[in-house]
Amino acid sequence: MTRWRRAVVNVVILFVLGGHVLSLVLDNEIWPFSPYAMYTRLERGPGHANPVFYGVSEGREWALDVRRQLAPFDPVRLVHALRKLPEGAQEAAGRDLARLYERNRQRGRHDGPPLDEVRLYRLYWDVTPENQPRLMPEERRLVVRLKVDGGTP
Amino acid sequence: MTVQRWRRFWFPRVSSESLGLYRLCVYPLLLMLRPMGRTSDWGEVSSLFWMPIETTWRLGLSPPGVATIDFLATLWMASLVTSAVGLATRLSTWIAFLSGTILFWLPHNFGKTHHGDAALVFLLMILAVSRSGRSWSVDAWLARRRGGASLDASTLDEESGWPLRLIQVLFIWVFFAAGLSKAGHAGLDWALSNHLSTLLVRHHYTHTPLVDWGFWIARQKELCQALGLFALLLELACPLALFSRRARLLVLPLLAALQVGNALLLGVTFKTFVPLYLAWVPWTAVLARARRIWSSAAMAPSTWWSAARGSS
Repeated sequence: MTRWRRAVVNVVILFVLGGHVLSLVLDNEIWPFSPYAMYTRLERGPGHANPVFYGVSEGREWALDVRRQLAPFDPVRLVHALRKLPEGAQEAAGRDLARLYERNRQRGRHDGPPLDEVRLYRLYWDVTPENQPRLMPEERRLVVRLKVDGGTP
Repeated sequence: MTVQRWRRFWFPRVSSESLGLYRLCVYPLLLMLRPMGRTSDWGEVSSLFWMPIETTWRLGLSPPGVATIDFLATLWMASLVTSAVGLATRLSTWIAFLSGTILFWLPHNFGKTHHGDAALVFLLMILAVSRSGRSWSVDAWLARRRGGASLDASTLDEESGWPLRLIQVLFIWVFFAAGLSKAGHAGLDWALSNHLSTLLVRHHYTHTPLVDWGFWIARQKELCQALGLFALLLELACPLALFSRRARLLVLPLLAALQVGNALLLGVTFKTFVPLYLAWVPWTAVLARARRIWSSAAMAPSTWWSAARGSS
């Protein structure tokens, strides 16, 4: 191995290590560097809230399977994306999601009915270890309502 | 002295066939795992959802269209095949790294940065910079056929050692950083509070754990605390695997068990880690054993034949 070659490899090693240390020190994702902060925030209480997307068609509401029906989004990414939407962009976002839903249907990824609305609810559960998984939440709060053009309001 | 230690650690002398075999296994694995899913779908998502991450914003990059993504995805898959067989290895591995990085990077700009694929970007980079095509490759075979100077695959050198060592360090870093983050954010409370118990139950509402034992475990307070403490200490102590062979024999199976436990109880899978685990395989020893088994299997029929002839 030549000295020049070893120097190049050393630069690669320092780049990989340095970026990761920086990401850890700043406690921030600097993709592709990461502090790998997995499950670091303490979860204590019995109350638990999780966001769930619902589709609405002709007044009927059902929980969307985001990975299939709104692919390529996954639920976590979509919740974050909606949170970051600029003011007044919700209607356009609803239309875009309906377009994704239709495209996924045409590609045979699902066979759901045409969408009139996408709703994001926050579901509240009492999750003590004594309770087996519950089917119904304690409470359901509407977070975002995204109407699709021509749909039933 | 420090320079020598650095060199001893980062540039261990390893046979080129170890790195060649690693290359031969990792690229087909990436092809099978499809770690980035259906990439071309991202080209169809409206620009309203384009939320550039810091890296994108600093580099001034814009979202690629469907045709570009499709082209890159095709290029990526073709380069994985040519990288695996070691055809134009340096060019192939560089194409796999560059096209793969763009495809991995893209989804992070739509609302959320996940770190599940980050280590694979570095793995591709390390293999691109390395000289992994000197053994177990079409390139090496062609060089031998042309009668050119070819490397003895069993010769130990530093060029084959550093890529595997850096991938091992990357693997350990993921767990160690996770341990430091937990300790930094919550301290011992991470293990000794009811955090793990709550997590085990909550994941039944957000994920799909493979088994429902989490409810029973969550009710055993001491067991939860012991498991939490075990996970935290294992993550903080795992760098020992880089320095001690004995520690490696203990730490690596425990880390694998931790990830299997996560998949079973929390519904969180880590398939992108499989290529990283392979960097720990003692490839030369595996190959030597395979050759022994092969030669004894090849010998066997003639031995039986001789024995049969002798007895007749």
